[in-house]
Amino acid sequence: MLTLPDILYGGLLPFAIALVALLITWRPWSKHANVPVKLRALATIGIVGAFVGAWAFTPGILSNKVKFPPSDANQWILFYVSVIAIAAVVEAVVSRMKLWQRGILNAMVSAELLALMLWKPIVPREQLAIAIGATIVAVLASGIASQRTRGVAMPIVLTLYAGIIAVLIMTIGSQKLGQIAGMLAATGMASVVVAFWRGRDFALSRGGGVIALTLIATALLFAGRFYAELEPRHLWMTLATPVLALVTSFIPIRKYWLRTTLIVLLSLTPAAIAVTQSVIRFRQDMIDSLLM
Amino acid sequence: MRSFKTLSVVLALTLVASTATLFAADYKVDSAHSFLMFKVRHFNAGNVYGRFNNPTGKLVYDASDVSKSTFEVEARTDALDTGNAMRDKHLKTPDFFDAAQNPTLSFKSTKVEKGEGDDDLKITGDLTIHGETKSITVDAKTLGEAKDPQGKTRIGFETKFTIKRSDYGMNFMAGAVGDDIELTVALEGVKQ
Repeated sequence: MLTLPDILYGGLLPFAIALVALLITWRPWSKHANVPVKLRALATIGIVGAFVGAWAFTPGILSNKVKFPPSDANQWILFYVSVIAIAAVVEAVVSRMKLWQRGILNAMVSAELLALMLWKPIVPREQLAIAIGATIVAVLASGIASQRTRGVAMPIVLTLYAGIIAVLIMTIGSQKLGQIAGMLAATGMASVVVAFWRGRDFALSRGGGVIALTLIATALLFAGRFYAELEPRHLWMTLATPVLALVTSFIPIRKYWLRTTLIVLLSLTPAAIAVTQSVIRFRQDMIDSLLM
Repeated sequence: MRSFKTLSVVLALTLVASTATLFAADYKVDSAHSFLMFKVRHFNAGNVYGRFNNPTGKLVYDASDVSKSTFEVEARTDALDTGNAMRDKHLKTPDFFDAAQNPTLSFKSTKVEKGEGDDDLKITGDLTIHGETKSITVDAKTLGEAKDPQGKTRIGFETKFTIKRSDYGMNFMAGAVGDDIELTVALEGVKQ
């Protein structure tokens, strides 16, 4: 149940922080200004900083005590974002890094962070390997899709990906994990606003913004599977989003808004079906439990 | 004469040993007749009751010298039962008990002392919930000892105490769900 402080600190605060960072980076009021690649890392740092800021100021949602090693699955996320910020800076600073090299960097960061989050013996090794492999595919797919699709499409896809995960996890029983995903969606919303404003040359692809959104969202999805009771079919239907974004980025349509609409709709359809099924079942369970 | 003395010593030692064995006895917690229950405030309006089914453990009880007694009890977090499947599911998620990462909750005594009354005990030990361990001291009662129809000796203990869930890292939904948790532990042990 969301209270006003939850909405303010878990929604508006990360949105505002990320928005400021993205506005400084992209300066959408000067549409023809070239954004240096290294400066794009600031956008990613802004996204992760917004997320950490929401964490720090939302005692109603999250535990205030963070210790190392973390005791809870969700507390690992705080350490994630630090590593993601460093990876973003590295990717931006090493400007001669080729696409495949950036891919390897993103894959390594994804694998290590997900393994840390799920390293507890409760997760069978085979399932952990599948989770790591799937996350790497999701991150790489998002990255390549963002390279191929400039403008507002990928910010919308990734923001709704996080938002769908938030609702999905809440309906399977973990409000805490769901609210963390909601904070991520609020952060991603800032990129949607700036992308709309800036237009077709906006891209989260370089500087780590894509890895930040995709990796944290996907990690939360797997946390919902291993620590709550997310159904496997709903996990895979939702996880298909970044892959479908990549596939649909090859649609040979040049009209910007038509292309954007098709990418968004086709990428998110399986996830939308999954969350709809989960919400319907949640409402039925609530009625059956006489809680409504 | 010498053999009589030897025999007397042997008999005396046997008597002492058997006496010691009689008082300091091992008991296995009977899961079917032991209960681990809790009560928590809901919206400051009502109380929610629940339990952890099938607790296990072992007890060593020495009525003549309770300081030699030990109490070890454990329950599975996913055995939580509040009579409502949705609430149980929620309580097992990372929002509360995080059963996947913390599969058990347990108590292991470190000191047992006599209480004020004849049947009273003061038990100090480590209570572990949600991966956090705190030392607590509780007042317990010895309920009695008897033989069951199978001829096995049974012994019972009961205690009631209050903890703060925030002390154990569970502070989600503060306000809606109270911080004070009243625990009632009723154990029945079967002598081994």
